[in-house]
Amino acid sequence: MFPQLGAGLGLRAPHFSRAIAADCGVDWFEAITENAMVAGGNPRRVLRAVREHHPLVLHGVSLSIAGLDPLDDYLARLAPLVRELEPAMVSDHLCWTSHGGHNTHDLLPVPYTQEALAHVVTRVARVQDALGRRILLENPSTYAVFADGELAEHEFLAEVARRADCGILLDVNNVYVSCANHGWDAHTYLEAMPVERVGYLHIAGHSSDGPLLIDTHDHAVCDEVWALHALASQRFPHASTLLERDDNLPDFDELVAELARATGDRPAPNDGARS
Amino acid sequence: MKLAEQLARFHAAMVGSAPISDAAPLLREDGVDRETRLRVYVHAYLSRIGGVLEEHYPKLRALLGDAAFRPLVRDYLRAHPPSDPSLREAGAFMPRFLFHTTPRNYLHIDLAHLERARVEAFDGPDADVLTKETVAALPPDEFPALRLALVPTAKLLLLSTDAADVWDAIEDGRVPPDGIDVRRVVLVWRRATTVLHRTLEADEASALLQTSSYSHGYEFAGVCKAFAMEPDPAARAIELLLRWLDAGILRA
Repeated sequence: MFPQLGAGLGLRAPHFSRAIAADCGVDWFEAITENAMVAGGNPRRVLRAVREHHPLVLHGVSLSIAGLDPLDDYLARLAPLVRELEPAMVSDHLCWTSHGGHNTHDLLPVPYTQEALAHVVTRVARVQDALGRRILLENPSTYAVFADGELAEHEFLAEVARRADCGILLDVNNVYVSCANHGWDAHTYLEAMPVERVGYLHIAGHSSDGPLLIDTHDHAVCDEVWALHALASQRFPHASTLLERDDNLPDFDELVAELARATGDRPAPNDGARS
Repeated sequence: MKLAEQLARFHAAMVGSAPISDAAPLLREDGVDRETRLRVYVHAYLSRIGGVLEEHYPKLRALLGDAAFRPLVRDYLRAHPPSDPSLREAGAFMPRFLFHTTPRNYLHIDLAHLERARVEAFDGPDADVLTKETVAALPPDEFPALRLALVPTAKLLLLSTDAADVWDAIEDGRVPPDGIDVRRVVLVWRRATTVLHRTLEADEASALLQTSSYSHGYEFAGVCKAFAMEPDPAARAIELLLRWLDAGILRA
């Protein structure tokens, strides 16, 4: 359903010069969509340069798929960007970011109700119609759950994907963080995801703040998340992996070395050959 | 409860227009205090956008110090909550916000103008640049009618303080000057991936202001009038034209 890209890295400004090289040691890159939603200039030029040698995925943070604000303005900027850059995949989050025209730039939690489910499914269809392609929705790290919820988060996400016919970007770190924050079972979460709809996996580091784990992207991936990634890689053998890092950004080579572990988690390819 | 009401109450608590306790009943009661959970989102909102403002206004932050910059960010976000999907637009109204802040401080306003112009130059649209080769190939009789126009990423700032000197001093690790009131025209532009700025001499400022006043540019012969007071107006015009061509600030 989605292309198999291998092991990729979130594209960050200090690494631009390395990422545009053909032999940079990374299979693909994921760029934050909104950073390219400017008039032109460097952000888009860099993405075009990266795109010459590597598949590129656009990953948004402001679609606000569960929000109530109209999608028109955002889609009017996203659609031409997708046409220009021809990304291998387009993803965003199962969350809301805007309300009353105010963009919080935060991934806010969705009430997992039947009303919200129908609302999100309708909006995903609208986005996919505008783009002429399937999108993928990511499970965000959550720190709060609405009391009115009628479905578990994993049920809600799987149902959105099934009804809206979209893909899932399964953030393994977010599964770990949310399960720790709410007392959920990570294995149950993974098993609830429809295999054919999981296009790629995210891995990242997190930190703790009192009783909660926080998705900070400022550490290396911890062993527990790597263990979950190994499980996810077995369950979703066609899914690519993307390493995210935002703060305390190490140099490019250090991230490439960390990313190599993701490749090791992949099941051995079965090409039908016999020894 | 309807989705619209759930999101509205959560949002109000998050951005500080309602107390956090108003949104706490929306959440499931479990092992962790509900207000503690909400504060994670409040903190993320302020720190994420605050981090971008620190990145976009580094010299203003350095001049003010964190103790004054952080409350400024909080007040700014209340007055200008972001609406654009791009975080790079989150600080767009900082110069205007400072202008309406009491007591008004023109050094702070000018510094914010300069730093915002640098962000916009970095993000601005590409354009074909007028080259020395193109100009050299012009027949001499067409030279006076050559239209000079700035590329979209070259901007002229009319400042009322020496904010550019303050910016430079902080950048170089020197003690910044006091921020005197003085009329300055500063050119901000982008060359390849680097954003630059420079305080213009009076005749150069006059010429480029003339050029930028017309959307389709201004004839070279007219621009040269700015150099009438120079000992050798033609030589000065050529000197500056070559400087602008080297900088890549003129549109093809």
